[in-house]
Amino acid sequence: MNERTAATKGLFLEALDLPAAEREAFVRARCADDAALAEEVRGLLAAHADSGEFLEAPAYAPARGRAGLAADDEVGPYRLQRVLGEGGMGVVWLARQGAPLVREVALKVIKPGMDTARVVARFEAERQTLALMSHDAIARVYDAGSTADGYPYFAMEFVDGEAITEYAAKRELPLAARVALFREVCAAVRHAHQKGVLHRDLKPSNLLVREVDGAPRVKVIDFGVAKALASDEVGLTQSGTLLGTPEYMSPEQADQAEAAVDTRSDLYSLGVVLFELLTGALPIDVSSREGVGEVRRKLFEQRPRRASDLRASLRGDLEHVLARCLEKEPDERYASVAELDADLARFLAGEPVLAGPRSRRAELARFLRRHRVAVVLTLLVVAALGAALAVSLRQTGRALRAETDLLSLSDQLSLERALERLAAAPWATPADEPELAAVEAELTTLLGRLDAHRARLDAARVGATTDADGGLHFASDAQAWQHRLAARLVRGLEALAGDDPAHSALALVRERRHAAAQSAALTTEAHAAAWAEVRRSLARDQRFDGVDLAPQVGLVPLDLDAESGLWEFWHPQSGAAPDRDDDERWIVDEDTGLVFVLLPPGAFDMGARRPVQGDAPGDANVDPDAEDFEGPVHRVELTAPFFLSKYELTQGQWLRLEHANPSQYQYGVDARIPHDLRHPVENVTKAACAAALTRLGLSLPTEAQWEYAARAGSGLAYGCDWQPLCLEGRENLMDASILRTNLRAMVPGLPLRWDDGYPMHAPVGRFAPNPFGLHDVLGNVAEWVLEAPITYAGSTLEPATGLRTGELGTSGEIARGGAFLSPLITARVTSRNTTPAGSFAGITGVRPARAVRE
Amino acid sequence: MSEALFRDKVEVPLDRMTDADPDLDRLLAEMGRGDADAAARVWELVYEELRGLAGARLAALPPGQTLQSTALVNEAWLKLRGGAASWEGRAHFFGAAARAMRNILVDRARSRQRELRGDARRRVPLTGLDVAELGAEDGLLELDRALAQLEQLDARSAKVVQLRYFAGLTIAEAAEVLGLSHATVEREWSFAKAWLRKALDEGAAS
Repeated sequence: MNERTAATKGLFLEALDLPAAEREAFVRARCADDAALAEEVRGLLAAHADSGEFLEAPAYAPARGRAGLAADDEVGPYRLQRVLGEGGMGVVWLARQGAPLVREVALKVIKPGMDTARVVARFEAERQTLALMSHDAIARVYDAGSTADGYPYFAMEFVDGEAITEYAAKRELPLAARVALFREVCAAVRHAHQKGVLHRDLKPSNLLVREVDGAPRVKVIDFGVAKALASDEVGLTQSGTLLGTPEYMSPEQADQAEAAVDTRSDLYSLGVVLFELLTGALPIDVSSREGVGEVRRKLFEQRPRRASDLRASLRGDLEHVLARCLEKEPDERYASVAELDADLARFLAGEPVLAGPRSRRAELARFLRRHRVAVVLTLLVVAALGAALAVSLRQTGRALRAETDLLSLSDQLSLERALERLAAAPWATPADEPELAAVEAELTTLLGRLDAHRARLDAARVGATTDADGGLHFASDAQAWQHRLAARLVRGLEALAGDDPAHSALALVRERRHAAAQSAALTTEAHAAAWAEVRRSLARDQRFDGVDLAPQVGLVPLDLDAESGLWEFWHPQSGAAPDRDDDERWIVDEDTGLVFVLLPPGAFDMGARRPVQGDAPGDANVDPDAEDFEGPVHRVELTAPFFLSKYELTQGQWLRLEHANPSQYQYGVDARIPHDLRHPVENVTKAACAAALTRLGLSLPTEAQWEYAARAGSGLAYGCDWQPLCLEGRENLMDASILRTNLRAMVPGLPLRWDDGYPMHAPVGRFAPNPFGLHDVLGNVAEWVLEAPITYAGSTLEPATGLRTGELGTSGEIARGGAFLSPLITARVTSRNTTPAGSFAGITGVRPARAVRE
Repeated sequence: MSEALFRDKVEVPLDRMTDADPDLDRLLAEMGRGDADAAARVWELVYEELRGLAGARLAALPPGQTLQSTALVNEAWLKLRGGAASWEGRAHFFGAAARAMRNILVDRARSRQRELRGDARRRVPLTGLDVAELGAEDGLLELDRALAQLEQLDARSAKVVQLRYFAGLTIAEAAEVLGLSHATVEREWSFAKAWLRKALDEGAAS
């Protein structure tokens, strides 16, 4: 290092140790005779202050910032226009939605570091609650999804306004006007609280003011966003920084005490905003740049400023109101935003407010709190003595630890690899058994080393100290890492033990191995006579001309359906055989397995076009609602027969196959209507469906197969007719039944005039079948299809299955058919409903298909 | 970057890499004693290993998932070393791995720029991961140049950047590799970041 660099570096590092405010004086004093040197050091200090996250994420991770997006890019159904703002969480874009309705939205794209699937899942879980809010001063959050690159985004009502504090400052609003404006915020937050929604990130930039007919109107934005972004360790992002805005955060929220965060946490944040609105300053100086510990310490210990010290006119009532909001203990604050609002109303009316000076009780409570800190400190001293004793042990432990790390790491990798193999392993036929056996053997071996790893975990704890809350503290990051590694592995191995396939991978692999081994014996072998009968029957059926059906491992013939004249089959791996009711229809119960219909090969005209002069209502493939993407109409010939599920996959079937029920509307989750496992599974991504089905030797239907099945020989837009009235009693759609529930707020368009009795999805098979004997194809839930949204023009189809290849017309995925909560036009047989890539929703499920095997 | 660009890397036979290189221990020890040939040989081994791993992982990852350099480097270490342990060697290994990661990433950024320049109108289907990295790759070459300057002025703090940024090591791990105290590494890191930030800002302004 040359002398010059050494001098600069030395001064820079010395200055860095000083409080920010003293650095300039230090530089001036030390570089009095060398202006260039001073300039150099100042430059470095400025760059340091500016460096923030610079280089903090390793190079081999995605770029931070704008998530690779630019104006004109498409994100889901939105086209980006311009950046509205950029904040700690990500970038907000102005975007335009093209379909199903045209509108401008604010699109918030979250920066990397979040687990997108979980963010979206949390938002979906919250969606119903959010939909209950209906208030002029609350901006709607329409949608959440993930960009093509996997970043979560939120689409919200676009509000062209400015932060409440800026608005008030620019117009120099008088005190009473500020309080009156703030009361609008209170009304909105109060409404949300009544509906059970917390905001969790109330701050001026989320309280926008715009003028409507010359009067200022408030909109509160971002409801539901903070909750969706919250990680399991509440309030912390994955990188360990505080989620949210420290300046406006309540102490309990900064403490990540999720249980303690309630409406009074929002009330605290409102108090900070009101303080800033009235005084122009914050009650406590904290900033996002400070560490979590520092923020927490200040929020818990530092006394808020007195509002009257900053602005004398606040002495008395408003000062007491602010102090009451900003109490450290939630119990000492107003009990609700309504109480705060009532006090502000009293102030404006010239009446005395209820929030008086701090009570003696509060003083006592504060004394006890201080006392508690002293108790904790005493405990820490005792713990530190223990740590000193452990130091000598640490020396001997060091050599051992290196080896421990490698063994732990290598078993960790083996475990992860075995779990990955299990996740990908098919279990449909006896041929799948060896791979499952190999995975089982690997897992068993790893489990055999559990005790050894437990011993290593204990060794890794040597030298660690335990604090009063039972948390472990290590002398170095390396030790903490070693401990984490060992602990994670032990946790992972412990999870292997146990007999419940929902929790134990070992139990799961055994279950699947058994199912694979038995798959032929229980189906083709045990039912050889039935399979021979199917073969004879098909030989007589002209629709199956030239088809010689071999017995299909995994399926058991049920019967020839009297109405459709098509054979139906039971799929034992997904559940019990169906019973018949008095009308000879199958009963799909909670434990029933899939029922497949063998559809004949056939040709049809796919797609639709809008009518031109000379067309008459009812002409085939003509539909005034057709979009360009549904055309051109083209002939499709499916040369192979295929199996398609008679019903949508049920929650019971998914639960048995995947040992989980991801559905948004399920028993115990939605108390408004009764649910059980006969309802279709939903809230599943296309990828998850495809993976689960593939392992079972099943698949998603191709888009051509789906439309062929939905049409069942018809050329008309709704199958049964060219207009939708024929669907009454045939499909569960968005009908008047939803108006009877308090979910009507979610209805995105005008519902049908009839009442089908099911505001949400119905148990599968409740409505009439189509001519192929398939139920709920055009209603209940929408259904994923195999291909991406490929433009029909210029595409080619594989003859047997109709599998299409060609250019993508848009990004995302296609779900076909209508649903209980989607606009009627989506229930047309040609409607190609595109959704963002990786998305899932309570209205989209799956209807499994299966190819005929040789 | 298009998938085609990765094809040669994807097909690195994985079974070859599961065998530990019997020489590595010896090479690392010789490298530790300052043997330049041994260092070059280690570098070669590590570079090949990381390049193969990075390619294979990139091909296997679903869009939107990110690859952590830390995980990659640790995996390379396990593979090259097999099961046995020689803990001192690990420090030397990480030094080489950090340099290798830097080379791999800078090479990729360069070839991507060449590709864009060469045929700007050709539309290549971008995988999610590539799009996410576009922004980073533009800046990576500039950073590499600035880091080369810093190496001339202050080799130690440049080394910290290499370990932290390219190999994804924590401060504590970097301290172990360099045989320095935690506090020293933290100070070197602060200086290097400020210096680089300033250099890049000035570079952008001029």
